[in-house]
Amino acid sequence: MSEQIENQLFVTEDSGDVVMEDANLQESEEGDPIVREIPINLTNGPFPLHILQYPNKPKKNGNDPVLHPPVSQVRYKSKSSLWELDVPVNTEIFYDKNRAEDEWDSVAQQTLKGVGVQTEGQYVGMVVDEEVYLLPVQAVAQMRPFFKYIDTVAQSKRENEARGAQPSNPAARRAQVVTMSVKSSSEANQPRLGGALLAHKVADEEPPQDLEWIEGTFNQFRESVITEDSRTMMLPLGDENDYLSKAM
Amino acid sequence: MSTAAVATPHDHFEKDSAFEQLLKPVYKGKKLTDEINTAEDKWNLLPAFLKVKGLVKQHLDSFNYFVDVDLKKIIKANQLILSDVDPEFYLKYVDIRVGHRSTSSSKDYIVPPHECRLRDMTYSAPVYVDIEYTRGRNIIMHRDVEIGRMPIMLRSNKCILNGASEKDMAKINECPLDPGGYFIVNGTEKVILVQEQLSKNRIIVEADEKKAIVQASVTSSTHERKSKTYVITKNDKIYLKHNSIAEEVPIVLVLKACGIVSDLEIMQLVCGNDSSYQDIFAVNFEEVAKMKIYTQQQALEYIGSKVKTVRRQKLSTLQEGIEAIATTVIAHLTVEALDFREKALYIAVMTRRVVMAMHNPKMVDDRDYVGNKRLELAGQLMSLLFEDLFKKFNNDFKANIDKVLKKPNRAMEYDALLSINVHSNNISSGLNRAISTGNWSLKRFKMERAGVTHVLSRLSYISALGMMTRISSQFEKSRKVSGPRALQPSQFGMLCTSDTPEGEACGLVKNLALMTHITTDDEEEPIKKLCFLLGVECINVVDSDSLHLNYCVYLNGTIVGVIRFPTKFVSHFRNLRRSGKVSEFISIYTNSHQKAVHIATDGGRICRPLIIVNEGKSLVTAQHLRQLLDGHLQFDDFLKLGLVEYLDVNEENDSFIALYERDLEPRITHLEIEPFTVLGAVAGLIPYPHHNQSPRNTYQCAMGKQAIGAIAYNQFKRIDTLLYLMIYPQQPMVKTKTIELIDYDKLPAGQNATVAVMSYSGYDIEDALVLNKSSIDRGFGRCETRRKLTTVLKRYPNHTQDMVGGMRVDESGEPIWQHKPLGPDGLGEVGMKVESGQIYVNKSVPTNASDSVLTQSQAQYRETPVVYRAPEPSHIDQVMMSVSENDQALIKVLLRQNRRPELGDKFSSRHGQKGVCGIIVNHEDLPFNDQGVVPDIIMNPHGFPSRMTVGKMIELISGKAGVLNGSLEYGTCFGGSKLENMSQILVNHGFNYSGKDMLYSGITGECLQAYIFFGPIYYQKLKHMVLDKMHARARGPRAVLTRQPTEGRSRDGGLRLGEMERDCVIAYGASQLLLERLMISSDAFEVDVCNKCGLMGYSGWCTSCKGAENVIKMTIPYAAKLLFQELLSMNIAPRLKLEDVFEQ
Repeated sequence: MSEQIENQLFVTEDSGDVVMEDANLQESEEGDPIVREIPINLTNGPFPLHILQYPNKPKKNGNDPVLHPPVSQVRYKSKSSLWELDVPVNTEIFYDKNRAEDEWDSVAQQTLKGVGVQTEGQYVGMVVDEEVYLLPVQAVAQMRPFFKYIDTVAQSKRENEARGAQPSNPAARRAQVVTMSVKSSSEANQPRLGGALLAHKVADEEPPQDLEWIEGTFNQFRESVITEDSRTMMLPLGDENDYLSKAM
Repeated sequence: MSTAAVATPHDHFEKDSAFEQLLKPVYKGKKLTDEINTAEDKWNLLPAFLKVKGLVKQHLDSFNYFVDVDLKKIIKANQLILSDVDPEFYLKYVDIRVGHRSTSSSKDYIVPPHECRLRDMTYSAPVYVDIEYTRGRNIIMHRDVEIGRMPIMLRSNKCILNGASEKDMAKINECPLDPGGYFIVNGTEKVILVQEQLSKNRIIVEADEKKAIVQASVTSSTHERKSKTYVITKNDKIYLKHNSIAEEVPIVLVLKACGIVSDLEIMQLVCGNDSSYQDIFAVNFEEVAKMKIYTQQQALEYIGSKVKTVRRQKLSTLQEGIEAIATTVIAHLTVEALDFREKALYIAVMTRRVVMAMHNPKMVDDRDYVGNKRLELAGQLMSLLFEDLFKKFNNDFKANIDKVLKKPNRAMEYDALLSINVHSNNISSGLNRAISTGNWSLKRFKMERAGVTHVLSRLSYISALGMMTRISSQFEKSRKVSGPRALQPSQFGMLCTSDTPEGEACGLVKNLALMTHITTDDEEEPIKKLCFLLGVECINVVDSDSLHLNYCVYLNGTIVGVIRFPTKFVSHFRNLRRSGKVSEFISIYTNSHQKAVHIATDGGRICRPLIIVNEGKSLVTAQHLRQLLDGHLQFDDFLKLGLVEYLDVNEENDSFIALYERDLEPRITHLEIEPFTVLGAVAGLIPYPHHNQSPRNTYQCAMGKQAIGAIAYNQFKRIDTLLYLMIYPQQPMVKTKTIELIDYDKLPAGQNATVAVMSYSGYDIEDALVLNKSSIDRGFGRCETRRKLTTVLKRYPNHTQDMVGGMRVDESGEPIWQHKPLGPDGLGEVGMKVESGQIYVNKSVPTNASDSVLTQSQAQYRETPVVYRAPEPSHIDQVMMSVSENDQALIKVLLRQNRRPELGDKFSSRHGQKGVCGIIVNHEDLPFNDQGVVPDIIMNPHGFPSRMTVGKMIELISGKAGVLNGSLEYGTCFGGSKLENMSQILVNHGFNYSGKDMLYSGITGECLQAYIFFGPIYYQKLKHMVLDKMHARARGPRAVLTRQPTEGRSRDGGLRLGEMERDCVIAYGASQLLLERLMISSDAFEVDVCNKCGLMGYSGWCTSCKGAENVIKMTIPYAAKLLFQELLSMNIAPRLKLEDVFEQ
């Protein structure tokens, strides 16, 4: 991944990857001499790394505190690996105060939501003292806006309507035939949710963990990573003959 | 051939300098031997390929994959049986095997195939499963439980013929040349034809320019369901369409439902940074904005409200929406977790393809392109069927378990194993029934398919072989579209260009080319991992903005990642494949229009081997070929060494393939092994097909299958319903390499006839042939028909049974005439002549078969003999008595007829030139040449100009040269013996270079006025023979209902004077003839008509008027009387009003 992690724990997706000029333009195998050798260290951070990508944020915003204000609140559901970040919105510009007050309970923050997808073979790299340090990434989450306030309002509106509709129909109120059936309690008749529905149910039911957002910890993090103990020694699983026999 | 030489045939050719040049070693800068050498060298790869693969390898591979891999997958997918009653109970399938138990290393004994054919049995092997289940509190493991029997494909790895030597095969009466690849069900040989289908799980973009519609569709196919998803344009806006969603959903809404909520990101995913695409797509945002749908939840609820699936369990609209997006839409990508990104990307890619096609109408896919087709083989079809039957088996089994477990107090612990065997017949009989009827009904997919299997045609060896390579299309025959029938350029080398039937199935039924392979499914997961190792960035971490900047990598149609350096990636991947690290049948190619790298691992792709070329040099060198010839290398070693690789149609399009070694240049990537492999096995029989007009080759492909010849080495041991055999078959003088490869020279169907191309008598017009009587006497065109008759001696419930009685004798002790062919056992004696009306199985059935056992009376028998009825007598060739699978005695009698050619028998050369025998002429009346050679056949030269079968002429010259030289010549497509060389041989033996001879009339002895084209041509005798067709009747049987003469030769029917003939007779005014033909000679019937009421009475009495006074007798057709009565039964009274035509 990128080496441009500055004083921020979470790595922004660096969309400015080298744009390919011509797909067919490629250096030949021979004309690829070794220019420099850089030692590579495989290290482990003090905690698992998650990469949060902001697909809706242009790269040129950078770390401008106005365009990219610090996160005010973080919620995380570990079982579903679900992130929710609250980012305060600048209510001075491009903000419809009236509408926010009338319709959306004067919302003043943007919620970003993303599901962490487990990755394998993804690393974060850092160059410190001419050495490359690689840290394994546990999950990558793409943070997309989540308009919770719209859904909440719609939800409550619907509930109101449902409540309002019932008494307005007196016929339904009068004639009440109660049928009772005894449901067998065996497991088979319970509605079984599978796949995505189950995942959503699990996510909805899990209480979020409130986490604190701390900025400016990069130096401290870097120090903890480049220590000798956090490095993992790579040991070959088999010996030379073993490898050769497989390779042949 | 120079024109000068042709114009002056009388000149001695040595004076001809143009021809002289041809004979020099170097002609126009080219050596005479140059091309032949390379061609001959490379050619040796082909027999090596066929040695490993065989001609029906596709069937065997697919069946082997089914029994070895697919069965295990099916077991795994359906492994648990749980009880609704007892939550503790479970039964789990652990393993499955076909044909052998886990305990013994050797295979079970299965009845050999030929015995199955003779005894009307199914060639099958038991299917064993290992199960683990609970009995009370204990968990029990049980091995080798038989759940049914599986029909076995001959020569597959479960077949006893697998790996058998020629000697072993002879022992069990099998022909070593028989290709296998078919099943034997109830004694008949059944082939599951290869089915052609549009590829599954791939996006196909189509445009209808008239309706201004662009649509991308994908047919998702998983084990559980099949469904089709469309992304379609409507008024320039894009929608998603699916059967289970009530209406089309705006595409932006769908993407929002998948979690791509911001319009920016949708734009990025669909259009990238291409402004023209953005302009086309921008409209779509408005619609959703008008609907006021902003969030994922709103979008999901919208979709949820449109879903029309009926469910047992009630779901909220949100849940319905989630379910629809996660599982229903694009069903082959089922989302199990919270993240819909993969699906969002797939839908976005479909949308992008639609936008691309809207922008540039050329960016559509071709349905008929062979790369978009997949072939469904026996294994896949069997696997679908087996899974369906296995599910049903498990359901029945579960119902049974529940029934037992429901009982409150059982005396003993319940053992589930006891009820497993109850249903084992379901699987065996289900498989048997499907194969024997050809009706594939799958409950899961609600699919009913008829005509999947066919009886293997044993008319000739080549017809059986042709059937195994046949591919039938799912396309309706009646639809009038030319696209699916047309010859596709992409079928080069994959499907035979000549072999297709004429008429309604033309172009829909195809045949595989000689050197093809059809892939089986391969694991996707390792390939995905490999892609990531080779630098593909996983799609989950790529942001939407940069998605379309790079090449996307698709694995079986699903996007897995992006790659910055596609060419390098593709070449790395290919290198890995060439070094054998990746399966050789996985294809990879770049599509620069779509900016995509496609990797395919799925089954059913056609591919073929090609020689790899590096920097203008073929990697296969003379040294390798020498090693191949010496047996040090095999075809598979060429693959392992990376000298040869398989390419499928899509990857072929990504390569430069040279036809000949001389065409090699730096940019060439592959070299053809042999150009004649564009043709299939059947078209490969034609000598010099590249000199023929193309439809002639197609005609020969149809006729080659009707030629009578040798069928198999075990042909005299077979008892088939009808078998035609040639008495003295010969291998052709002019062979092709294909003929040798498919062993047609060992089981030929035809004879080398000396043909004179000239006119003789008037009996040779319209392609009729003049045959030499002495040739026929010597055995030319002589054939044998063998017809089988089966009788079963039934047993009845009251212990009576059918029996065969002895013969009846007259006063002198001699058997009566009808019983002459019988032996003392009541069966025909082998070798006896049977004439029409004689009996060859004297069977009797008990008259009291329906009586109960209690009222035992003395068995009475009624004779029901099998009587021979045919215009010509037959001889009894074999009589077999055996016991079938259901323990009933089975008698098969084989009747043989020996036939010599007669007037009207059909013959054909190998160039689509058929003709019937017009006259048989005595030897002495036929022309002869200087050597005294007399032709076997005289063919009229008018057959040539319009047919343009130059190949036939060259065949004659090569054949003649071969005869003179004592060698067999080759007429291989795009190669073969050179005409120049053949002419030289003729010249060397003192013949004219052009194959023309001076002939003398057999009648006058005078020299004929012209030189006659004279030499051997291979002629096939076709199965259409006059003896089977000739038919006449003076009087005979009538149909019961109408009393009109019966129809058809087999029922000794009359010849119909039809509607059009009737019109002629009316127009001519021959009214009495009309009356005679239509009534008097047909169904004249005398009725009593009452002139008062107009209804019909009987015996001079009118039943309705109760009187006889007005009754008049008259003759009407019985069918008319029947019509009146049928109308009466419908409450319509037709009344006849009679008048005198002629005043008295």
